[in-house]
Formats: sequence, structure tokens, C-alpha cells
Amino acid sequence: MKKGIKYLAILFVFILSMGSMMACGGNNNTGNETKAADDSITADNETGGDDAVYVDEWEIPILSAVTGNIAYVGKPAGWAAEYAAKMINEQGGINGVPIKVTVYDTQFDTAKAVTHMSSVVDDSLIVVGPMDAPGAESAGQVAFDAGVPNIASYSFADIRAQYSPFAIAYMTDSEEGDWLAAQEWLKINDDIESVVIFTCPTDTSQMATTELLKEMLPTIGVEVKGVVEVASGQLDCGPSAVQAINMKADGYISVLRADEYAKIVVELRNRGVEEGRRITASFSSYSVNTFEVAGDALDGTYIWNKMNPDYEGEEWQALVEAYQQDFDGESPVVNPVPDFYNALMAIKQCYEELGITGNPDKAEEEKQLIAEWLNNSPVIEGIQGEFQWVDGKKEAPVYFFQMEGNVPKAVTTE
Amino acid sequence: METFVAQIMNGLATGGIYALLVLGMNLLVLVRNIVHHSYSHIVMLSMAMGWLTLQKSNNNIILAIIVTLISGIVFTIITEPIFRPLSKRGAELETIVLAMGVGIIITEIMSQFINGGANLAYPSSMTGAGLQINIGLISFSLANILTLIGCVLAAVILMWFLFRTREGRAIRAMAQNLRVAKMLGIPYGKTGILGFGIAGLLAGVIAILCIMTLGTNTPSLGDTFAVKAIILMLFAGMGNLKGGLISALFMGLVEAMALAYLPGRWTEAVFYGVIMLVIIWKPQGLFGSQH
Amino acid sequence: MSTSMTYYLIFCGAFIILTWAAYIPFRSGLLYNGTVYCMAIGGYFAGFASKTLGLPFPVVIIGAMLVGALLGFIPALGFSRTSGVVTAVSSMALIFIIQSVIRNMDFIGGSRGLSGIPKVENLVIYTAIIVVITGIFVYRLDHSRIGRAFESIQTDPDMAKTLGINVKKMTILGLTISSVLGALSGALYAYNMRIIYPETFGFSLLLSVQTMLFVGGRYTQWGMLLSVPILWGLPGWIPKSMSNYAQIIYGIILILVLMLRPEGIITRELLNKIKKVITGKNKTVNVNQ
Repeated sequence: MKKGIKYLAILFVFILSMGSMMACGGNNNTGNETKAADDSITADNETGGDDAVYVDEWEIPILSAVTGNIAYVGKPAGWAAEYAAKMINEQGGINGVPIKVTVYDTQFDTAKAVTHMSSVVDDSLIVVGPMDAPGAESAGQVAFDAGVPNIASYSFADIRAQYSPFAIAYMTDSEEGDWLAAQEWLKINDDIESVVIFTCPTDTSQMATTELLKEMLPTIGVEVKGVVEVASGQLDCGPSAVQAINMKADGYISVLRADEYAKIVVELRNRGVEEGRRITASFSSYSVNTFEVAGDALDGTYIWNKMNPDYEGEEWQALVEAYQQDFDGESPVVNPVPDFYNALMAIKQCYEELGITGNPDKAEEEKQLIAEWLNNSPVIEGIQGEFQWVDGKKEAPVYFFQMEGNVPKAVTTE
Repeated sequence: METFVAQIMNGLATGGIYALLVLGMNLLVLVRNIVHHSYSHIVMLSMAMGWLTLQKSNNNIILAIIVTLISGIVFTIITEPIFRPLSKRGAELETIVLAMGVGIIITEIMSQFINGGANLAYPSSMTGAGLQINIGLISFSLANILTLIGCVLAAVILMWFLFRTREGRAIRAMAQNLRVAKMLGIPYGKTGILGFGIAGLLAGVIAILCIMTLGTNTPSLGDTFAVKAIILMLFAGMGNLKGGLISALFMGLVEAMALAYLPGRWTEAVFYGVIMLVIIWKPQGLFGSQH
Repeated sequence: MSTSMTYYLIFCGAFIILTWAAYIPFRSGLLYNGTVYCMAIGGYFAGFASKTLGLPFPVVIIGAMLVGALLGFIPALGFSRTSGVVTAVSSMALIFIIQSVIRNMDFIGGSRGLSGIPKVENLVIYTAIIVVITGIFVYRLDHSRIGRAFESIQTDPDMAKTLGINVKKMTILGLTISSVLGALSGALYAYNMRIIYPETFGFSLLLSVQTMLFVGGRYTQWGMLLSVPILWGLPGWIPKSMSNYAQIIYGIILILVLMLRPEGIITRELLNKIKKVITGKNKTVNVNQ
């Protein structure tokens, strides 16, 4: 009998804890359905249907890595979404109803991404983010299971296929961009006939790019002499630079992120690579980190980006000004800023063209409609020019720059 | 051959920094029986303080150096009361976990409040980037030379202090047998603070050397250094000052060689694999622990 | 049950088992950091076995535990000779090594992560059952001769030896059991996430486990039932304005507990008081329970 009591006690405590968890953790799901209870009949939407907008506020959750290692990308991304929401509301909202975005911090952790996604899927018509590949891939599973369209970091075709049609890439595929940039670079510097590629072995995106480049470069007559691996967070990049120089190539392609690239470029220049034009870098190293740290070692080198910080457009310049106010005079240079902004504008266009009502009874139907519209979208006028989604893949221009000192200047656009 | 020499130079420079870190941590082990995992984070925070000074004072290098040194001392001493309850209980094991907690807080403070988490760049006048000796592949900067000299100097001075001065002997006595030391009238509190203060000063010095060698500071730097430093300390033997120096330098070389000749993905595995095997083979550390 | 609650409970279950995995070596005084290493092994095995080999859930779970035992036994042999701080720090190395190895093994996804792990319906229920079974197991272990042996090793290793306890064998046993639990936790985690990356099984996870162990109550197995849900759900309970400081609060909680209430929130005395209230009997705290 004593043993029985012991077991009972165990079970009892366990159930108690489960119970308290349920009580405490259940708060996330309240409020959304009740808000829509009072039918606010707003102005009829343009498609002239008889469904009026059911909700009095559109709620769009945004998942971003606001803190953590890539906070310098995640925080501006969250900001851009909130700014876009503000702009949309100033122009009257979507179908006359204001929108509200809530930024959830995934802390660059896949389990947290999944947790946040799971707390929003039940009540959302669409989710934006996470903006990092591992986060998007993990959280995407939850979105797919719940049939919720998700505009996030889906830059790999196989993942898009797995979660189709609910996976919509918020930015263009990186490997393609790297390949386009490499071609442009080689066109300008046509005396370069062999290259060394710098990559980080633990970064999936970089490895995919490296594979692509190794496959494609020989087809335009350029030999890949070797691949030098630089570990993430590597302190001393001297040995890597020496390794690369010893391969005796004409040029160097880096697909590394900011921290590592800054060090590599300094080491390469110190150890004998005198012409900056022989070095080209990737969009992920396009950041204040690189420019400040590497300084003048960048002079003459090339770099590409998925966005153009100096884009001459009214909407963009207004965003830049607002950004500078909130970020101590800094200008936005990371691509999630225009891309998240564009995502929200696309959502607005989508909702308006489809006549989305937000009626919970029609939720399944509407989510499917939204997903399909976004997956193969019409050409959309974004904040930096036109873009379009084809099968969830984003088609948009990329921009190529050459550094003067440590300031990038646009070279060509394609 | 040129490559080989170049790689050795690289290895010595980073090895030197590891060596100093291990030295500082060994000192704290001796003084208070603490495995101060967040020592490296304090170094990083001092570097950040130096950067802030540079920003505010328009690149006044002397001022930045002074502030960095003082920050090192201040931050280290601040952590003393946090560890005191654990020291009193003789709970060595928990100090690691506690120090990890402190490390998290420091890293977060850096990410949130200092430059919004972006990397900190230091002007080239401080990093000695301008004064480089480039012989083909070999790049040896003033910073590297100073770091090596700094390491040797710091080690020598610390040794002199611990073995020749009264306070130093007091610290070592406390490490060997706390009860007897107290009976002999050695003040527990004051000596502890002295030990922390010296470790703090060393932290400030390391911070300056790091600025010169690395040229940048990132919030995750603390974690990178902390893990390596703590493992290196064990590798040589906890509390063993001379052993710590030599093995840290050696592992710096090993790391550079691995970086140079193996694909990047194996560097870490090699580094930690070697160390783990040695520790299992000789649990007291390569040179034996000294307390 | 809502999606969010399902995920939350399964994560909690996995982490409770992981913390128990850390708890067992700690009973004999070892701060073993290889629990995350075992979790990685369990997780990747589960992912690989269910996705590529197509094995059903129960087989995979048992398989993961066996693989965990095997691959945890080998380092355990090495660690039986070390103690205290040395074990703690050098087992950290295991984490880095396994991460490196996984990244280089492309057939389990390498850095790209292992995706497409099949879904298990009603994973919540299975997790709950597994947690309860594991809990009973840990409880029986604690109160058995082996458990008492662990405790005496922690209190005084030399005296334990004189009492006829083979310290080395006990240590290896403890570490192996820990590996089994760690692998189990990893398997549950993998089934929940459906996609795992080597980065997950790193230092920050290690620190989370230690925090959950120390904050919950390191001398009893009940503490984690409290600390895991609270710490895992922490970001959800902090007011929005402070969400950026979640990590700092985490660190502060850890420091405060270690400084002020070192045994953790749930201590043996507290448990005894509760037991007195429930059973109305007197239980004295000594080694020979």
C-alpha cells in the first residue's frame, strides 16, 4: 500500500504541474476570436462581393530574430514590418480596416521559432518570418500543418516543395544571386581565370552556394582552384588567407558573413593581394560591421546585395529617413528591411484583390486562397522596383557594387 | 617554408592571448577556488568600455587604455561578492554554472546596449594595423609583437608577485590550505580582493592586447574565449601557472596548424579532441594541478 | 488542445527527461555536461531511423535509448577516472566534437539539418506516458541500493569505497543511465521539431539544462517538474516591453538561486514537509532511506 501511495503522489504532483502549465500557458489563444465578435461593417471592398470585412483589426504576426547572433538583421526586419503597418494604416488600412503587427522574438533559436509559430497559427491567416533559414524551415513545418501561408526565409527549392503552397520566400534565392554577381564580376574583370572560394562549412546557405559556383564557374571558363573553409566566429583568419593565397588563383570569391569576411579581406590585402578588384563578396557581408571593421582594405573590392541602399524612390527615401530617426542616424543596409516592407504591402494587395474577410468560418478557404495568390503572384510594385513570386520563389533584381574606400557604389543593376 | 613560419607567427599571437587568459583564471582559482568562466566575458566588456570611450572622447587612445584597465579591475571585483557565498561553501563545481550565468548577462548587455549588438571596430592607430611588417605571406604587426612581449612580461611579473612578495605568498597559502592560512592570520577578505584586483588588472591588459590583435569585438567573443580558456586551464592543470602558460601557447600553435592545413570544419574537433584525450589520460592535467 | 499547448508540453516533457539525465550523475557528485551530446545522438538517430529507415515510433524510441547507451558508455569509461571540475569541463568538449562530426556527415543532413522527420499523431500523449514511466524509473533508482550508493559517493567517496562500493563501476553506471535518458529526450525533441540542426545541441542548450537543474532543485527529482515549464515558458510570461531582456532575466534567476538558495527551489526539506502534510507520517532525512 505504501508503494501505491508513492505512485499516487508522483502522478498527483505531475498532474498538478501539468495543470498549472495549462492554466498559465493558455493565455496565448484568447482574444482573437472575441475581437471579431462585434461585426464592424466597413466600407465594401472593391471586388463588390457581399462579404464585408468581419474583423475590426487585421492581426499579422511577425517572427524575427530580434536578439541573438543575427540581431543586426532581425531587429531592422521587425522594424520594417512595423513601419509598413504604420504606412498601411495611414493610407486607410486593408479594405478600410487597420492592421496590427506583433513582432515575436525567435532569438535565432529553432525551438523558440517553433514555439512562437505554434502560438500564432491557430488564429492567423498569414505569418511573416522568421527571416533566418533554420528558423523558417522549422517553423514552416508548423505553418504547413496548420495550413497557414508563411512568407519567410525559404530560399531553397526543396524546402519550398516540401511546404508548398504555404512557403513563400521573402527574399530571392541567395545562390542565384551569388552566381549572377560572380558572372558580373568576371565580365568586368575578364583577366580572372581561376578563383578560390571562401565559405563557412556550418552554414547551409553558404555551402549550397559553394556547390553551385563549383558547378557553374567551369562552364564559363573559370577554374575553381580550391575552397577555403572559415569557421563561424573564427578569430584568426591569417591561416585561411595564407591557404588561399598559396592556391595561386587570380581572384577570390567570398560567400562569408560579415564578421569573417571583414577579417579575411584585411588578411588578404596584408599578405599580398594588392588589387582589391580581385576580391568579391556576398550580400550577407554587406553590413556596417564589415565596412567599419575592414575599412580601407575594402577599396576596389566588389560586393552584391539584394537591395540597393541608395535607391532613388520617394517611398524608399521616406523609409530611410524614418529608419535614421529610430536607429541613431544609421541607414538600412540589410535586405529584410525592404523585403519585409514589400511582404506587408503584398499582403495588403492580396487581401484587397481577393476580398478577404477574416471570417473564422471561412478561414480554411481564405488561407488557401491567400497562399495560392502569393505563390504565383502578379508583378507587384515594391519599394525598390517590381518583383514577383513564381512557385513561391521570389524574382527580383539584385544589385552589384564596387567599394570606394569603405563605401559601396552601385556598378550595374540587372 | 614561408607559409609555415607565417602560420607559426599566427599561432603564437593567439596562443599568447589564451595564455594570459589562463593565467588570470588560474589566479582566481588559487585565490578563491573559483572557476571563473566569465573572466573572458569581463575582458570583452572592458574592451567594449574602451570602445565607448573612444567614441565619446573622439579617439583619445590614452584615455581609452586607462578606462579599459580600470573597467577590468572594477568588473572583476564586482563579481567577487557574487561568488563569495559559493566560495565559503567550497562549492567549486557550482561556480562554473554561476559564472556561466554571469557570462550570459554580460553577453546580453553587450548585445542590447552597446552599439545595438553590432561589432565594434577600433581605429587602426590602436590596432597597429598601420605598422605592419609584410614579408610576402608573413604578416607580423606591431600588435603581434606587443602581444607576445606583453604575455611574457605579464607572466613574469605575476610570477614574481606570487612567489616573491608577501601578499603573493599569502594568496598561495590560502590556496593550499585555507584553514591553516586563516589560523596564521592571513586576512581572507582582503587577500581575496587583492587577488581579484590583480586578475582584473590582467583582464584589462588582455583587453588592450585583444584590441590590438583582433581589431574588433563581437558579443559572442566572450563565449568563444571562455570555453577555450577554461578547457585549456584544465588541460594544463588547475592552478598551475607555469604549466598553463606553456600549454596555452602550445594549443594556440596546434589551432593555427589545424586551421592552416586541415579543412576548416575539422579545426574544432581536432582542438577539443586532443584536449579531451589528454585530460582523460591525465585527469590532473598535463603538468599536475597545484592545489 | 491548441497547437501551441501541444508543442509546449512536448518540449517540456523532453526537457524534463533531459534534466533528469543531468540529475542522475549529479547524485554521485558529477556535473556531467555530456547530456547534450547524448541528446544529439538520440535526436539524430531518431530522425534518421524514422525518416530513412522508416522504423515505427516505439522501435525508434527503444533504438535511440540503446544507441545512446552505447555511445554514452564509451566516454563514460574515460570519465570514470576523473571527478569534479575536470569531468564538468572536459565533457563540454564532447558537445563540440559531436557537433563537428554531425556537420561532416552528409547522409544525416550535415549543416543543412535533418528535415522531414515523419509526424507522430498524439505525440503529446506518448510523451506524457514516457515522462511518467521515466519518472517512476528515476524514483525507484533514487530509492534503491544504487541510488544510495550514488549518494554516498557524493558525500564522501573515500568512505564509500570502504563501505565496499565500487566507485568506478557506479560512476560508469550512472553516466550510462544518463546517456540513455539524454538520448530519449533527444528522440522526443526530434519528433516534435520534425527538423533538427547541429547548432541546437550546443552550449546554450547545455546552460539551459544546468539552469533547470540548479534552479529547480538539484537534490530531488521533482524540482525539474517545476523549473522546466517555468523556464521554458519564461519569454511568454514576461511583459512585452521587457521581452528583449529575457536572457538577462534568465541569467539573473540562475545567479540569485545559486547565491541565496543553492539547493534550488524544491529541496529535500520542503519535500519532507509536503510529505508530512500528505501522509501525516514522520520521515527523517538520512542516507538510509
